Amino acid sequence: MKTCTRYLDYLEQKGFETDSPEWQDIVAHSSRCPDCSSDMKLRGAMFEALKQMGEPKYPVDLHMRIMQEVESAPTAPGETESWFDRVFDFALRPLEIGFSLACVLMIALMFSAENEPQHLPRSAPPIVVAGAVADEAVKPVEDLDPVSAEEVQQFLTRLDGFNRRNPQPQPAGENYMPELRLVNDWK
Amino acid sequence: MGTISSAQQSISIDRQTELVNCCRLGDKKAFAELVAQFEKGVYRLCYRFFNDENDAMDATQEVFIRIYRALPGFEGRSSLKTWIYRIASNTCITIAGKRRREKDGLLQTIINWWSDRNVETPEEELIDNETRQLNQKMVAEKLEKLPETYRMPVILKDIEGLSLEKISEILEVPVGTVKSRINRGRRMLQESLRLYYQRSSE
Repeated sequence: MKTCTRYLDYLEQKGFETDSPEWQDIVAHSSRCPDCSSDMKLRGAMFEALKQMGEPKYPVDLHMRIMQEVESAPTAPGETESWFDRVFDFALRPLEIGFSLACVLMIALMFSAENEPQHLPRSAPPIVVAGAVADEAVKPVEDLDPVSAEEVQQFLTRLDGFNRRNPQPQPAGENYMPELRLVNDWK
Repeated sequence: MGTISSAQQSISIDRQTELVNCCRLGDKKAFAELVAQFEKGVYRLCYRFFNDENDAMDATQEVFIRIYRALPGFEGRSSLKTWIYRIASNTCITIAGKRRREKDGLLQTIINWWSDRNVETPEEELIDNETRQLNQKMVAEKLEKLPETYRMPVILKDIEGLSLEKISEILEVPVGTVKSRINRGRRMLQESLRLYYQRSSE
């Protein structure tokens, strides 16, 4: 069983540095070590075999076949193969398509969930002025100006007078009571 | 040893430029001349890579189709020879990779890719127990089993005899990467041949 690989390890790491003192050490080691010695011989034989590979036997009609193929080939690259063929592996195509669709569906669901309107919790105070939602209601409470008790009283008096002058028909069958709360009531 | 350069020295740089210009204008005779100049070198490279006549023929045809399409975009930043061998190398690697993926399927390809990243030792599966006569055929067979990344640099260096700089230019990778791929490829090839050599020396 082969155990020493110093020769091969050196060549794998620094195969093109065969003029260094380290290489001389490796050569000296390889002359003593049976494993490295056989690796050294094998490397030489391998190079020899690679170098001796002669010219292959060229097809007689090489030129003609190349030219025929070039002339019959589609002019633009990729005409023979669609993007679908390139992207999806034939054998696992159903699995890949299923997985891709699942991913797309999941992303779509996540996107729609994020864009869904947020509902205020039931405990949140309704911001209603004379039955209509004020646009300013979206402002944070901290940004609203404080209102004094006198101002509140004045407003209620004016509202009462307005309601008396302009009585609103109550919805039939319902004990309708318009709700009015002011910002100060929340605190 | 068949060197790439021997085939192309018969055509001067000026003539190459002239041929390329004529090809750009759609001159098919010029392209035929260009094919004649490079066809054997390209076929030889493809044959070394695939170790099969039919595969080499298919790859050679594909290489020249790509050259024909890409010639209008040839800017002359590298020599025509280097450019053609770059296309040939890329084509061989692409075809081999595609075949492997078709054969293995996506899952196996991912597993192979992952195991290639983690395995530090040479691929033991390359070592087989066949005791065939050592000759170029056997070396060629083992060479053909090397991963494409290592196969092409070893072919260009140890069979075609190109310089590291030229290989770097053809493969479009730094010289350091070329060196490490050659070293690694040689070791893998040697490991795959080791059993045979050990047995023949016993």
